[in-house]
Amino acid sequence: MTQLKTSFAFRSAADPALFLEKIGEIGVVSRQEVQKECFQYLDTFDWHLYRKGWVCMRCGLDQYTFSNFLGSEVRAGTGPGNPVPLGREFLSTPLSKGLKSLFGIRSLLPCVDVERTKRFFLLLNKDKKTILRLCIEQNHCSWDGVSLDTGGCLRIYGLRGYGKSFHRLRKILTEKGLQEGCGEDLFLQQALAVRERLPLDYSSKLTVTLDGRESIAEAAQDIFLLLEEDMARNVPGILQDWDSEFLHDYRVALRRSRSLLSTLKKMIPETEYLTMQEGLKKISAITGPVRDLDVYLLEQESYRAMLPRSLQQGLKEFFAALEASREQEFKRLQQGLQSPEYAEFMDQWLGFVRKQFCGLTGTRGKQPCAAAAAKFIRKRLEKILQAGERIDEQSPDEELHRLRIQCKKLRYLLEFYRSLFSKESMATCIRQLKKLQDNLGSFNDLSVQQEMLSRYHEQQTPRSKKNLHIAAALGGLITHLQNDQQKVRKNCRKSYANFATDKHRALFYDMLAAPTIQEKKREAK
Amino acid sequence: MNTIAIYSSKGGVGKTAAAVNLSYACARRGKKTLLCDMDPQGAAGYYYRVRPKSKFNRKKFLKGKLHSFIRETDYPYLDLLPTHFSFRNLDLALDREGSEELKRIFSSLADDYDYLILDCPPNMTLLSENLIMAADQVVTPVIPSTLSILALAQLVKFFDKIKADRKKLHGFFSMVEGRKNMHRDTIKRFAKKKIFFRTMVPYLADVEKMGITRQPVAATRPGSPSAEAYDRLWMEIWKRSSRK
Ligand SMILES: Nc1ncnc2c1ncn2[C@@H]1O[C@H](COP(=O)(O)OP(=O)(O)OP(=O)(O)O)[C@@H](O)[C@H]1O
Ligand SMILES: [Mg+2]
Repeated sequence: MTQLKTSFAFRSAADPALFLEKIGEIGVVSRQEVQKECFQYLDTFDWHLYRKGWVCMRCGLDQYTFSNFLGSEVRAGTGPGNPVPLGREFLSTPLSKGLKSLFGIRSLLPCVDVERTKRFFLLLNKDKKTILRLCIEQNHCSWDGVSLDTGGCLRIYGLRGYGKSFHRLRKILTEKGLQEGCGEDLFLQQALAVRERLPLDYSSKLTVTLDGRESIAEAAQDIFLLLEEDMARNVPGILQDWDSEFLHDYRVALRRSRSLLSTLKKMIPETEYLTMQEGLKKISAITGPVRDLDVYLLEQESYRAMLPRSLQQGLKEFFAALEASREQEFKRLQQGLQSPEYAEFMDQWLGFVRKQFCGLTGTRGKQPCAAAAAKFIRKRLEKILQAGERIDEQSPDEELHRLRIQCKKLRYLLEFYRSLFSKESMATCIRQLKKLQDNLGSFNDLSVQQEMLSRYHEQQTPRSKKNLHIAAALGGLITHLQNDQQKVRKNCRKSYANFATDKHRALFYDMLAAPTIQEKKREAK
Repeated sequence: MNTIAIYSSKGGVGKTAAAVNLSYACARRGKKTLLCDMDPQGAAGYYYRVRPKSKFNRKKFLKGKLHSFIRETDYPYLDLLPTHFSFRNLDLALDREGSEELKRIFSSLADDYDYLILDCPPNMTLLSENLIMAADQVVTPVIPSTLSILALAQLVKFFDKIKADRKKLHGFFSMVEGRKNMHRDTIKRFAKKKIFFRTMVPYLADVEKMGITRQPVAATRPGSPSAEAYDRLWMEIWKRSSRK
């Protein structure tokens, strides 16, 4: 027995009245109760739920409903009580059953407050028998003192054996030009109007659309502006410490900016270049320590898995100590990002970026970006191919690190300028590069981790029992990481060889030789 | 799925009133319930304001295509299979193996319902015989009078004759008027018999008024003595059904 049901979204404030009038044509409308529901929509900063086709609604402090857009799959129940819960806090609740992939390291942020009024109606025939159940839903949304009626819908529920009336009403409404079927995603989208926002308005992935005919200077400006926006948008989340990804994304945008700046070095007046380079470096220094600690704290689980039971106590104490230093570093970070110096430099930076052509007055800055980008990429690729050929199992760590940095720079270039080249080739090139990067990246992570742990180890004065515990745990971890690193190192040569096959080289060069010219779609921002 | 036939060979003893209110009590307790109006007069459908779809016919019923005739009542978990005039001849269509035929027809509803409650017509025809055979329980209203007790004795004999299981037959005193001597005496003599449920349904204006309200008594007057009586009676029936 599948129940007949459907819904029609309102197009305007006049629609509810029109609906009732149309419904009145097939029977007597009997008003029933009115219910009010107050809830908040939540999603991660990068719209993880929405991307997966889900919405999260929270009533009161901790009553959550997760549902897919059409509401055919719903999980409801009690969840974490803090205003901005972390995704992983849901993993221990039945809400995440079968939905593990919805809950990652990001926190769920309140997006907008909704007051939903549900007016119920019955449609009766001449015997006063109910032949349809109806509900008019209207959403009133608010955020930060602004509130709006954002929309709503009519829901129609058929009764078994009374399908005729159901189909009749449906036909009448469809003939009126109304759109049938509306999901929670529509209401979320409408609700966001209160904040003049849209779903998916942030992604940690960089999407730049360049016009091959614009100059390298104009292209740089476009990219810098996007990166600056990314940084600015992540600052509130960093300061509130909602989750670790705000700082992560901020630093990615920062690194990209630094990398792009260095690419353009020769085109920028020296003093200006040095000021900007120095300023960005300082921000990197302000934001680095907390991120470094976050990396370890996020690894807690995997570290735990590396050690036998006897060493767990020490590990626990080690992480407690890390938490404590993070707290301190975090205060410094907060101060740094709220300092007048930071604000001053960011103004200066924006001024530099906004200044026409980024101050790139020379003829070099005026060359079309497609050709210049191809040149940048080719140069970087060649450096990698030179360095890569020297890699073998005996290569010193430094050489692998250098190769990793080169790869990263190439990756940034590809991402900045991807819109200028063939989509398919670019996707393949990035995929191949990413494989190599992953390998070099884990090699580097492992050595950075060992270094940090050894440094920590040396700083310990092993007098107390607690410190002995910690020292033992660290020793265990370092041995484990060394073993892992040796395994990863063995793969480096092969990863490079896979990346640098003749076929892949040809793919790169062919792609760079044929930029695709496309009209630029300037987004109104 | 459980099939419960509300049956009596006598007319006007409160079968339909019982079927309507018992099915409501059953659904109220969260059981998916189908009230089958087997009486061509269609009184059960009338109380629930459910008219048969015009295309209903015996042939389709016999073919087991019941699903498309079922209609939802205004109450959660409660659906109704309306009667149709052609039921009048249903008994002619069913042959000697009619009860098997009926069982097969009803079993097609097992996925959708926990309980089927049958409001039977007042006669001793082949149809009644088949309904009795097909049901898991037969519940018969008895107005406390000598004649009704005689009728009940006849029914027991009828069970034996058609080789139906006597244990599935139960009666309850219906339309009981305490101020009538005859009612008091009959109840005194027979109420303890095993065949009777403990609950009696008194003669109450609320039940009579159902003809005007066209709703089960518990919907118009929840908690009233009439509503309580049918609810208690339902609990007794339910206990038997869950025992099997
Ligand atoms: N407990 C009761 N108190 C008062 N009136 C009742 C009661 N039970 C039934 N009645 C009334 O008695 C009349 C006959 O009842 P009902 O229709 O339920 O009997 P029935 O056995 O189904 O009759 P039929 O054999 O004609 O189908 C109806 O008018 C009904 O309202
Ligand atoms: Mg009747």
